[in-house]
Amino acid sequence: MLLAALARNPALAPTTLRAWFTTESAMTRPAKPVTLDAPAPPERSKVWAVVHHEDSAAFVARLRAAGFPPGVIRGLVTARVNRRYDSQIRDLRDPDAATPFWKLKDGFYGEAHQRMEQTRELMQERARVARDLFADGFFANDEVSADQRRQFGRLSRSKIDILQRIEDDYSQMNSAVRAATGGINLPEDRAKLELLAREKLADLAAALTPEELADYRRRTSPITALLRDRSGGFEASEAEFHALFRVQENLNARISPGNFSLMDQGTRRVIHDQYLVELHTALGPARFADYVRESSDEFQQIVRLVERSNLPRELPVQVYDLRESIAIRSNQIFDDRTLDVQAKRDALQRLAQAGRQQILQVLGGIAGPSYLKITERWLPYLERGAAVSFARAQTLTFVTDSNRHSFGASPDFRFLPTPRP
Amino acid sequence: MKTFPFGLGATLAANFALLAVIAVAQWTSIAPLPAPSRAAQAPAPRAAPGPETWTALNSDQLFELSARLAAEGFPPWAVRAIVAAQVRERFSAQRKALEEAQAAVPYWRTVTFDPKLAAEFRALAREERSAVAGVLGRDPDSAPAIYLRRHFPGLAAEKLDRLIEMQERFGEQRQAVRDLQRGMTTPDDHEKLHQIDKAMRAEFATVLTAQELEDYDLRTSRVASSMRYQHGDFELTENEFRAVYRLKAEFDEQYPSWATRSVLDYERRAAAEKFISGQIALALGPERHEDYKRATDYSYRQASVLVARAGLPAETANSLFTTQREFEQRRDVIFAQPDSREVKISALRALHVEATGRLGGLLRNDPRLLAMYRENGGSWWARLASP
Repeated sequence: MLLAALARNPALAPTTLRAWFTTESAMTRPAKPVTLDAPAPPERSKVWAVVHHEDSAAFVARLRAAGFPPGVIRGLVTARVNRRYDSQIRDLRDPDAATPFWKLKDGFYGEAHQRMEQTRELMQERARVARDLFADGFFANDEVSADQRRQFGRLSRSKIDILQRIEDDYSQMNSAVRAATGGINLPEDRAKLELLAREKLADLAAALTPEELADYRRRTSPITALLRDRSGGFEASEAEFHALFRVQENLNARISPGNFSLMDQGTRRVIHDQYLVELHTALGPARFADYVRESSDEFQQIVRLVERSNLPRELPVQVYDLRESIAIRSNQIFDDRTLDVQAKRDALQRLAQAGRQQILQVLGGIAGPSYLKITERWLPYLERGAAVSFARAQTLTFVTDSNRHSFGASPDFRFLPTPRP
Repeated sequence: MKTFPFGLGATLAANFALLAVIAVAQWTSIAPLPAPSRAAQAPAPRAAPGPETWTALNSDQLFELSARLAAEGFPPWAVRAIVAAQVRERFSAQRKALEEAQAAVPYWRTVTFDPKLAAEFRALAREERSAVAGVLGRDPDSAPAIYLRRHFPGLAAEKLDRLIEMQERFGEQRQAVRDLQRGMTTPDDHEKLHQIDKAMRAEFATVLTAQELEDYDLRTSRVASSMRYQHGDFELTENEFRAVYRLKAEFDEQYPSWATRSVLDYERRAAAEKFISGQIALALGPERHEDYKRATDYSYRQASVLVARAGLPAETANSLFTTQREFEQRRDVIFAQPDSREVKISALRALHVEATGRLGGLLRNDPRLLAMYRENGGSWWARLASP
């Protein structure tokens, strides 16, 4: 039986004996694939193993060579860069799971401040790495994106690249200065930051014409960012924007970073009134009134409520005017010499109640109660015998490259004498 | 009959003999099979991928694309990134149209104020996300997934998956509220976000044990984060932290920091805050409570950084704080007197002069250090001069 098996398949026999079992026809028959002695055919390397590289620039090069289109390379490599940086950022921001909850640290000062600056640096570095990886013309669209147009205006691609490098470099240096402050700014810190600001301006001036520089500074100024955030639906013309810009610059000049938190109420009122006078002069009475309304936090909240309730678009102005009329009337009652204190108190309470009813009538059953929650910061004071004014209810903000400091945004009240028990 | 057993035995013997011959031949004449070489067994290095590689991988069908990529060894995150890039490409014309509308907005105006444009951007982002999720399902490395894995390192995978699903579902609800805010939060928005957080926590409670849930709150809740922010480097013990947390969590539930307050609410809140402070003092004991009050005082924390940066002895910060507390109490006594405004102002200014002398002694009588302290921790002192 064994002989028969070997004769049938000589390959089963050792080589030295194989010839004994191999017939002529078998010898001339093409050999079947050898399963015992010859090595297996090599497995093809998968595409990922061949294109992937730890170095991102090499990774990009391999993907390009493999015919991957720009959008896919950008998406893939950006995801890889993000994974690396996100992990480092999380280590700085998120609590370590191994640290007991009562030992976890947070805060603004000291070590926590340094972690904040390190996080900011990592985010900037990540953006820089991505820009450098995709700087090649293969990824451009010599087209400049909408965001870049807003930041850089009509500058060419090459000038935009130069400016971005300057911004990156100074951003890094500013971060290093801020990281060392521990969260407080001493005169020497401010001096360093001011020096860096002057040097940056010099570098920008070397890269741009005077007109380009003026335009770029306005576009990227923290004042412009502030005005953009605050203006709501004002829709300033270019001339009005320049006027608002100058008024804010004047406000900044009146407040120093060190003294901001130490200003007394009287000084703040004076500064506030100066700001309003300048704004009125710059915009004219009608547009001044529009700007004060549109930039008001309360008005912007009313706009949101009206939008969400799909109410007519003119309602926010109607509600705002109602608020103003209540405030004016409250002061008229307060100053009415024909009324005694109790009569004034009663009149103010009736005014407040009527005001609530009118708000509900104008805004309806959904937006109305929502707005009444917002009026809790002033309407109940009428019921307690106060007249309200919104003349200084705008938020005033002093802005630097790295921070905003605000005050104001509160109504003013005048209270009737408290009734004796 | 007798021949059968004989025949069988002969056959068997012959087979055994042949096997023996084969074995000997095998051992004596055939070299051992060469050990497989690495070179022979490792996949042959692929030639540098040619430009047709992407063409071969790509497909208009995203499911097919993702399957091909996976088959070629692309890790899940890379498959997701490529599919997302292809989805983005498909929507690029719509995106471009919206960006052109955005570019038409002057740089000094915000684009988010246009509700129609903002809504169209949001809708586009939602479509893109749905398209990717439709092919690849949930992202296992989403921000909520990573966050929860960090906070629950020992939790069973199945429980973790359920928490991740909840976190993502409630995250979408939060995002829907934020999408409508366009930078302005109304009291209703705060309330909605609060209710979403409460609902998520209630669902977490169906997965986690009471202890796991409390530990999660102690690590990640808004109240716990706020406590850490206030404490800075000051460290409570475990029991102290739990005790203070419970008191502050109760207070926050009743008087959340984001809630709009009426006049009456302000008064009730102030009274409740005073009560909670008393309870914290009882929980910590008098000595630890003094340490706690100092550590959570804003002026003290600023002054501590100033002392460190100025190279002053560390205990200077404590001395500054003790001086601050003494003069604040004396200031409050002046305010409480029935005197006229002018008399009070005069008394406060005299207090300012005295405080200046004491602070000078602590700060080397260095005008520069005094000026720095005034801006960083010394506002209480500056206000004595300008009441």
